[in-house]
Amino acid sequence: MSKWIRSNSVAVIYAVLFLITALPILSPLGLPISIGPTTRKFASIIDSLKKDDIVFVDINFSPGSWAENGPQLAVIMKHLWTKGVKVLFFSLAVDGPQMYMKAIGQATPPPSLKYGVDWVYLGYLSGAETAAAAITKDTWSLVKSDYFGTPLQNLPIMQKIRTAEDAQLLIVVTSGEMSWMWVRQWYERYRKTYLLAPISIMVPSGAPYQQAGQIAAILAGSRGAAEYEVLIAKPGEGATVTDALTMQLLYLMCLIIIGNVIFYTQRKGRRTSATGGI
Amino acid sequence: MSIVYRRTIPLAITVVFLVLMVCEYFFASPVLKNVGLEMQSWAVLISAFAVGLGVITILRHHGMRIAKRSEDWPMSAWLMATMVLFMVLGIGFGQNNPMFKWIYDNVYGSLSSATYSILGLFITSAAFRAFRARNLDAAVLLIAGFIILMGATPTIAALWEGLRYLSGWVMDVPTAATGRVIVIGAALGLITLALRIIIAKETGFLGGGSGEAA
Repeated sequence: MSKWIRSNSVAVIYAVLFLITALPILSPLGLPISIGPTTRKFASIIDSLKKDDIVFVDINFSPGSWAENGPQLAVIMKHLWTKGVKVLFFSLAVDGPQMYMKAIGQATPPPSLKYGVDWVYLGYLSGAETAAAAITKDTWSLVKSDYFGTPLQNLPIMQKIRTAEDAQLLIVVTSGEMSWMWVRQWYERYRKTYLLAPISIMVPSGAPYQQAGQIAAILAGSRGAAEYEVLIAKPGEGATVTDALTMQLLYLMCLIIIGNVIFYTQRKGRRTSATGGI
Repeated sequence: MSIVYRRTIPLAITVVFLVLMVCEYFFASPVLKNVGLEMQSWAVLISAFAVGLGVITILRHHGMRIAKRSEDWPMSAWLMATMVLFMVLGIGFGQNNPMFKWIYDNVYGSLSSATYSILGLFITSAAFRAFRARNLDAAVLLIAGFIILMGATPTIAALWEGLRYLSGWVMDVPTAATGRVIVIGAALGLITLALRIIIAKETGFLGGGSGEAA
C-alpha cells in the first residue's frame, strides 16, 4: 500500500486536494475569518464617499479568474449601492461585459437606483493603456454610447461625467498586470484615489505601489472578498469558498512539512549508509 | 526607395508621435491635450481593428492547416467551427442571446476556469516535491513563504492576530523592496527603449531585423 502511494504520490496529492476543496463547499465548516488592515482600509475609503460622488470601476478580468475576482466585484458593487454614489463601469478586458452581467446578477441594485441615473456600463474598450488614458481625459470623445447602445446624451449620469477630474475614486478589479498602468494614468495624472482588487498572486507586485501611496488599498483575491463580505455584513460567494481556501492552505503547509521530513530522512539515511553507520 | 517606405517613413512617424505623446503627458498645454486625445482615439480604433485582423489571421492559418491536412488538422477544423459559431451567435443575435450565454458560461467559462485552476495543482505538487530547505538560502525562503502562507490562511490569522503583522512585515519590507527594484529597473529599461526609438537606434518593432539599427 505505502509503495503504491509513493509511486502514485502526485495522483494521491491531487485526489486529496480535490476532496478538501469540494467537501467544505458542499458542507461549509464555518471556520472563523479575521479582517485584515488592507481590507478595512479598502472598505473605509468606499465608506467615506459622499452621496453623488463619482466612481470609475474597471472590470478587467476573464471567466478564468471569476473565483477570485467575481466575489470581489460583487461585494464592491453591494457596498457602492449603499452609498448613493454614481458609478461608471467599463472594461479594458474583452470578457468584461460578461463579467459585468454576471456580477450585477449577484449584486442586484436596490429598486431605488436606476440604470443610466445611478450607474452606467460602457462595455469593452479596446486599446489597453491608450483607452485608459483617453477615457480619463475625455470620456465622451472615446465612447458615444453605453454597452446597450443608448447614446451618452440620453443617460442622465453621463451629464455629470466628462473626465477623471469629475470622479473621486477608481476601483480596478483585475487579473492582469495591466493594472499598474492605472498608477500612471489615474494617480500620477489626476492625484485621485486608486483602489485595486487583484487576484491573490498579484498582491506582492502591488506592495511597492501601495507603500508609495499610489494605490490606496489592495483587496487580496477571494480571501479579501470574504473579509469584505463579513465586514459589511453582506454574505456572498467569497465567504462560501473561505473554508475551502483555509483547508487548501493548511493542506499546502502539511505537504511542505511532509516533503521536508522525507527529504531530511532520506538525506540522513544516505549519509549513514555512506559512512557505514559510523 | 523601398528602404524609405519600409524603414524611414515608419520610423519618422513613430518618433513624431512618440515625442508628441511624451510632451502631452508632461506639459499642460490645451493644444497638446487635443492632439493627444485625437491620437489616442486613433490608437483605440487601430487596436479595435487589430482584433478583426487577428480573426482573419487565425482563420487563414487554420484554413491552410485544414487544406494541407497537416498534423492534428481536425483540431483546426474544430477551432474554426466553434469560432464561426460563436461569431454568428454573438454578432448576429447579440451577447444576451441565450445560446451565446449558454456556450459562454458552460463551455468557455468552465474551460477558462479549469485552465486557471491547473495552477493550484502545480503549486500543490511543487509544495511537496520542490519546496525544500536544501541549504540556508532555501531555508530562509521556506520560512518566509511559510509565514506568508499562514498569514494568508483566514482561520490561522483569525486565531493569532500577530501573524498578520509578521506576514505583513515580510510583504511590506523584503518583498516590497525587491518589487521596487524590479519596477524601477523595468521603468529605466522602458525609458532607454523610448530614447533609442526617438534617436532611431531601435528598429526591432518595425520587424524583419534584430532591432539594432545599422
